This record gives sequence, structure tokens and C-alpha cells, in this order.
Amino acid sequence: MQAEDNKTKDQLVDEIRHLQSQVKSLEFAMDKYIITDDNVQLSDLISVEELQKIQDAFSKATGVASIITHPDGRPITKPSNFCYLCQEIIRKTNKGLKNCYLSDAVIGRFNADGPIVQPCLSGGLYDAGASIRIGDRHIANWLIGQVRDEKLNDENFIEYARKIGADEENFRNALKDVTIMPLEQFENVANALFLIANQLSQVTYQNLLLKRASEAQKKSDERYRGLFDHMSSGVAILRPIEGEKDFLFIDFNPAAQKIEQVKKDEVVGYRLSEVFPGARDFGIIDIFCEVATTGKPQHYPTRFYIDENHSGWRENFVFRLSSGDVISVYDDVTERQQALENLHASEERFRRIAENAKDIIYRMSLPDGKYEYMSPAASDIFGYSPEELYEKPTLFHQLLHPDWHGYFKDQWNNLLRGIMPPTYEYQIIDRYGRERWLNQRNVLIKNDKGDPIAIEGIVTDVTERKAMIHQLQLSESRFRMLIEQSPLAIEVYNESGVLIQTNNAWRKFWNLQQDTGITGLYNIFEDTLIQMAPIVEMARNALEGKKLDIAEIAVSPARFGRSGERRYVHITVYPLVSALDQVNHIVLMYDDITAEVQYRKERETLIHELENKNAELERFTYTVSHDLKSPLITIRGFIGMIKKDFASGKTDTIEGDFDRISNAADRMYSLLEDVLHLSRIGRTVSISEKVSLESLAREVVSLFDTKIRDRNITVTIGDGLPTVNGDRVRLYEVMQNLFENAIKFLKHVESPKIDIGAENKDGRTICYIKDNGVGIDPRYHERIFGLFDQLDQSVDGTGVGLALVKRIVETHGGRIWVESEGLGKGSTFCFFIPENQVVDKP
Amino acid sequence: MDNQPIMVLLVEDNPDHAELVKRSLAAYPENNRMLHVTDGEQALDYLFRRGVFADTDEYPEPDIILLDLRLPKVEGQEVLRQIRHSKQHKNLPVVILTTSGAEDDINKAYENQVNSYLVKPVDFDKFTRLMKDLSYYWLGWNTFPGKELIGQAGI
Repeated sequence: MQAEDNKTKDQLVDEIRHLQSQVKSLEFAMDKYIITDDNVQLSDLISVEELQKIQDAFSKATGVASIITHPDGRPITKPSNFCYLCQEIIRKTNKGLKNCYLSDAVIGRFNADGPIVQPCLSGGLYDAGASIRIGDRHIANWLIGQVRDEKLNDENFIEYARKIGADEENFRNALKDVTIMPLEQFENVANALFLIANQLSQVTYQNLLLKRASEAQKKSDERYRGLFDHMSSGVAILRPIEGEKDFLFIDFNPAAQKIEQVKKDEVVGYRLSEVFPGARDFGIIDIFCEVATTGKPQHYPTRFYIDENHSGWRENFVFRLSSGDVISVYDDVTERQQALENLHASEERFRRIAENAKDIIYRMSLPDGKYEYMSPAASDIFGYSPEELYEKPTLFHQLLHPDWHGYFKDQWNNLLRGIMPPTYEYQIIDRYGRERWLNQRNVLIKNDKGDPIAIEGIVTDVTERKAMIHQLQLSESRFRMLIEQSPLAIEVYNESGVLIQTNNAWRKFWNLQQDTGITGLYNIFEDTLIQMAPIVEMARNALEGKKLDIAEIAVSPARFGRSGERRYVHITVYPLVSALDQVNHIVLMYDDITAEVQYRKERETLIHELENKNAELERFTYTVSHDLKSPLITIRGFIGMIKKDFASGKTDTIEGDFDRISNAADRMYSLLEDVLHLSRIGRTVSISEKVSLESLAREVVSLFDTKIRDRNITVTIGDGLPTVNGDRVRLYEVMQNLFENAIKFLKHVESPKIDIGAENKDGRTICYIKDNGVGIDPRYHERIFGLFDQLDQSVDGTGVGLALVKRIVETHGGRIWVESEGLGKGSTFCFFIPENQVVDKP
Repeated sequence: MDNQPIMVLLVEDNPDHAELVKRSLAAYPENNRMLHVTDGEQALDYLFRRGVFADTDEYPEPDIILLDLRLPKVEGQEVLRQIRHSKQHKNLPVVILTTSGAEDDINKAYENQVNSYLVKPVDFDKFTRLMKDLSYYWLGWNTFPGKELIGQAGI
């Protein structure tokens, strides 16, 4: 700092010296301007006639010849009282004239002490000279002389005549006419000449100064006129009217005409109160009067002038001229005034904003660190009022949170070097001990030299925002953890459909170690898997803000390039909506419900099976009760009949009735047996073994050997009967029942035939037992497999057989049906049992 | 009393039961004639005059049908349904005479607008009583469509 001060002082001293030298050289130049003006001649200062008159008068008074010449000897005036010798003889010769000029120049040379008196360098007569000067510049010579005394030798003159080539005779005669004067007297005359010449120099100098002054005046007048005409301020020149408080316009410059929108001739010559009726109220007349009286210039500050024709803000400077006229230089400051008003309004607005802002707005001067301004928000944020901080700026440092002291120290040092971060955040502990986060934006104000002189800034309390951000970060991390730990597989997409986030459950679901190579690359909208189509559609809908849910949908492992079985999921697709109500993310959440789906399907199958079994059981119970009731009715009915017949002694029907009773009882027994048998099937088919249906067929055929032979039935067993997994005993029953049925159907048929065989149809080996017997009307093809359903009451059996067969085939996972074109067309019973089918559990 | 006998078509597959019904009804003094078929198909063929049943002298038009439900070929309910859906027999009185007391059977029969639903009792006395009442009611007191009641009804 001290070094800087020294430097400044040195510089000042330098400047002063420089200025002084400039002033000196300027003064010198001014002197020179006057004195060294080569163009100035004596004739410019005093007219030649005037000079001639003085010179003539002097010659006449003194009797000597006289002439005034330029410093080089060339004459300015006409010679006065010149002698014939000099005038007509010497100066008529070239040499003589030249010598005369030379002599005049030498004799007229500048000599401050007195006149130069000496013989002429031409003819040799006595001459004297004095110089005429302006200051110390020699501008003319005044020469007198052409006299001789008795001492001068004539012969010397004659010789000169010869020298210059003049006629000797004439020269001699002319010499006689030369004025004779004693040298002493001539010297007196020369002294008088010296005094007069000096006086003339003084006059000449005065004339010169006058001339300069008048030229300067003229130039100055021109300049003032130019100013007057061209200056932007209005200028009015007014002359006081004697005895009245009013003025007359003398002049009114173009700017004033423009300001007032009047022509000069509408103003000049008129009274001020006429032209500007509002002048009195405006107050300017009083000012003019005062200036006219005192001569003391006045500044009449900005006021509003108004009359019928003119209005506006005017600022006047009033002077008195030496003539006593008053001059007013004034400006139309209406615009400036409006700008000023706007500025005031703007300042007022700014002040209100600053005063009411929640933020602290301040200005601190540098390097002293004092607050020039601080808005009242300081009280809210710091706990100290602006006044307290103006008083003691260091209060701020007390508030600063200890963690930030180092930072601020560094910043302060940077600041003094002109380096400052435009914004920073820090903590304080306010007056009441509360921690606060502040955000500060600063502008460094520098002077012309680039030195920082102040900081202007805004300080905002961002404690809440910080807390919110912290909360947000917490919430974000919680949210991330929730996603990561969710038992649901989660896929988060951006609005373009790119997968951006997945979770642990997702990796588990897809059996992936990590999601690299998928997130950031996989785009759901570009997924072409057919299975994905409904999900992609859901995602598209989610973009429009819809939340969708599919309770069960299959997903293929191929989606992420894996192999394996397809899985079932319960999927929910929903949009994440930004604060602006725009969907910015799509979330897919799904739950692996494959096991559930499988369980459910299994359960459905089981329920279906159970329902079938139940229905069958119901039908079974019903038919059993019905069919068991029938023989009971018969039995009891005919017992009743027999009783009655006994009572009435009617005996012819008794035996037949007993047969009926007996048959009914038998029938009841077989029914019960069959029912028992049937009920066992579901429970007892369990032994899974390889069973050759062909060998079964041969066994069955051999069983009915007698019947076949008795009825002359042709039986063929074809190739291709398969070997199946199954229960041998039950499958034997199937064969037996079907074969027995076939025999029954052949009762009244000529050349009866039974074919047992197998054929391949639709990839299945279908076994058949075909007869050429009565056949079955297609209407009854289903019913014949029902329990106790008999097509022909006359045929033996309880009606359980086909129901039994059907049940056995179905418990083996197969199916049985009958094909017959109708009565008399024969029947073909077909069934298949899946060859490698593991037999179902009971 | 009209001398014309009442034609009863008995549809019953069980020959023993048919015999019991025939004998029971014969024991009562109502004027009737028993016609018997053994399955549903025959019953329909009879009513709609198909095959041998085209002969109306041999197989006269029945006034009432006693219909069993559990029948070979065409079930009793189907027979009833076809009767009710036919033009010529929709008003024919049909009495179900069955061993089944199942709710489904009963409801279905009434849905097909059966005129009466009777379950065969196992007990002989009750069976006899039913046959007697049936005889008195359906063959005695009952009036049939298409016939004019002349004089005093009943016995």
C-alpha cells in the first residue's frame, strides 16, 4: 500500500513538472507568436502616409535628409529633403544605389543605446540611423543625414564618383549644394531621431497589440456566434426594460427556437412576458432581475414551465453581459427529467424489491470489507439487522460455520486479487444458533484500473432446499433399495423404451448373474417376440399414462436369450409420471406364477376328474338303487300274487311266479356283484407292467372256444396289436367283455365273424374288435357305455360290462368308442391305450 | 257309462313289472284294454304309427300312457318330450310309473308337462293300493280329451 502511495506521489510530482513545463512552453510560444511574426511589417501597423508625414516634418525641422527603410535597406517611405547628389547622382548609378541600401541597413541596425552616426558607406556624407522595433524585433530603419562639415575632403568624393561611374563635373557641382552642418549639431539631430524612432516603435508595438487584440476579438466573436448558432442549448439574450420587471428579447438562438417551436422574429423585439406568459410563475423573471442587478451568475435548477403554447422541464443558467444584457443559457430537460423520473421509479422499485426480498441483497466495499448496503432480509437470515452489520461488518465472520472459515479465508485472499467464484454455498450458524445453508452469487465490481472495489451479491437461504435434496437423496436410495429388494421382478424403461434398471428378483427370474449387456441396450418397443406383443402393447399404453395388469401371461425365456421352459407371470405395467404430468418412465413388475399356474391346472384337472367321478357316482347310486329296487318289486309283487292266489285257490300261475321271484333274486345278486366289481376298478388298477394285447386276445378267444365252435364263429386275430403299460387283469377284462359282447351280437347271424386287430391312425395304435352282428343304431353309440344300459332286454347281462370296459380303458389314459352303421351292419368296438403311457394313479 | 274300453299303453321294459301291472289293473272292474311295449323306441313307433304299429285295428289309439323312465333305446323322459312336442299327442295324458324317486327325474317330468308321477312301491300292499287307486282315478273318474262325458261320471 505504501509503495503504491509513493508511486502515486512520484507520478504526481512528475505530472506537475510536466504540466509546468508545458505551461512554460505555452507561454513562450505565445510570446513568440506575437514577436516572431515575420509577416508583420511597419506598414501594417502605421500607414505609410502617416510615416511620410512624420518623416517630412522631421526633415523640414532639422534640415537633414530622411528616409525609412526595411531592415535590409529597401525604402518604405519616399526620401525627404534628399540632396541632389544622393538623389540624382549616386542613387542613379547601380553601384551607388546598392551601396546606399547597404549603408542604410548598416546604419539603421538595431542599437538599443543610441543612434548610429557615421559617414555613409556610399557617398561618405554623414548619416545617422535608428531602428524601429516591435519588442526586440527590428522591423524598419529610420535614416537621416546627407550633411557635411568643412572637414570633409572634396577629392575623396570625386574619387567615389569615378568609382561608381558618376559624372565628375556634375558630382562636383552637386557636392557644393550639400548641406553643411557641424558634426556636433548633426549628432543632436540624430539623438532626437533616436527618441522619435523609439517612440514610434512603442506606438507601433501598441498598434500591433491592438491589431492582434482586434483580430482575436473578431475570431472570438466568430467563435461565439458559431457557438450561439450551433450549440444545443437554447440561448436568449434579454435587455432589461427600465423601471419594469420585464425584459426585451435581443437575440434567440436556433436551439432555443427549436425548443420553443418559435421563429426568431416572433421573439426578438418582444417582451419576455409577452412571448412567455408563464415566465413569472415559472420564476425566471425574478432570477433575471437579480442577475441584472447583481451581475452574479445564477443557476436556476430544473423546473416545469407551462403556458398555453409551451410546456416542459427547463434548466437555466443566467449571466449578465458587460452591456448589462442578461443572457440565459437553458436546456429542455423534459426527456432527461422523464428519464430521471423513470430512474427514480426504477430505483424505487429496486429498493422495494431489495427491501422486501427474502434474499439478502448487499454491496460491500473493498478492500475494507464494509457493507455499503444490505437489505432487511439480513435480520431474517443472519439474525442481525443491516444497521448492526453496517456498524460491525465482522459480525458475519462470527456467524460463519467453523467448517467454512478456511474456505472463506482463501476466498477473501482471492477476492483481493480479483478472483471470485460467481456462486458458492456455505453454512452459517445464525444469531440464534440455528444452522443454515446459504447460497451466494456475487459480482465483483472493479475500477478503471481493474482493481476490485466492491462486491455486489445476493445471499439466499437454501436450508430448506438442502434439506429437501437430502430427503430426496434418502428417498431415492430407499426407493432404489425397495426396487432392488422387491420380490417382484422389475424392469424400468425410459420413455424411449430402453431398459434402464432391473433388480435382484429380475436377475433371479431370468437366471442371469448380472444385467450388463441388457440394460441400456434392450428396447421393449423393438421386441418382436410374439409372446411379448401384449406386454409391448401395455408398455405403449403406459406411455399414455395407463396402468395395466395381466393376471396371467406366458413369457418366453428367449426374451433375454436364455433357454428353458416358458414361465407364467402376473404382470403389472405402469407409468412413472413426472411433476409435469409427463410419463418419463415405464415400470414392468411381475411375479413368477408358473408354479401357481401349474398347481391350478393340476387342481382344475383334479376337480374336473372329481366332478366326473362324483357325477358318475351319483348316476351309479341312482341306477343302482333303481335297478336294485326293480327286482325287489318283482319279488315282493309276485309273493303278494302267490299269497292271493293261494287264498283264492288259483294255482296255475304259482310256479311261473316263483320262477320270476327266483330270477329276480339272481338278477339282484349279479347286480350287486357287478356293482362291487365296478367300484373296485378305480381303486385296484395300479400294477404297471408290459402287457401284450395280442396274447391277451388269444387267451380270451381260447376262453370262449366252446361257444365259438358251437355257433361256428370265424375269429381272426390280426398283427399289430400293441404292448402297453397297464394292469394285465383289467385289460384282460376289457378283451373278455368286448369279445363276449361280440358273441352276443352274433346271435341270429349267419356266418358270424369276429376280427380282432389294430391299425395306425393319427399316430395312435387303435385296437378293434369287429363283428358282423346286429349292429347298433348310431343314436345309441354313447348310451351303450352307460351303467345298466342295455339295448336289448332279451340279451343276458346286467348292463355293467361296457361301463366297466370304458372305465378300465379310461383309467389307462385311453378312450373307447363304437363304430356301427346301424342295425344289421355289425359293430366295431375301438379303443386305444397310449403305448408308453404310465398308468394313472387311482 | 260308455261301453268303449279305455285304451292303456304300458311302456315297461321289465317283463315282471309289466305282468304285475297288468294283473293288478285287471283285478279292478274298470273297463280297459292294456297295450304293452318294452322300450321307448317301440312306444314312439306305436304312437307315430311306424312299422308294424301302422295297423290301428291291431294297435288302437291309446287314451292314456303308463310310462317307465329307465327304458332301453329311448329313455322315458325323451318319449314324454316327443309326445308333448307332437301335434297329435300333445294332450295325451301321460302317467309316469317308475322305480325312480330322484328329484331330477320328477322335476324333468313335470317340465315336460307330465300328468302324474307315480313311484312303484316296493311293499306289495302299497303296490296293490296304488294300482287300485290308479284304476279308479285314471280309468274311472278321469275324463279324457276328445271324449264327451255323458251322464254321471265314475262308478
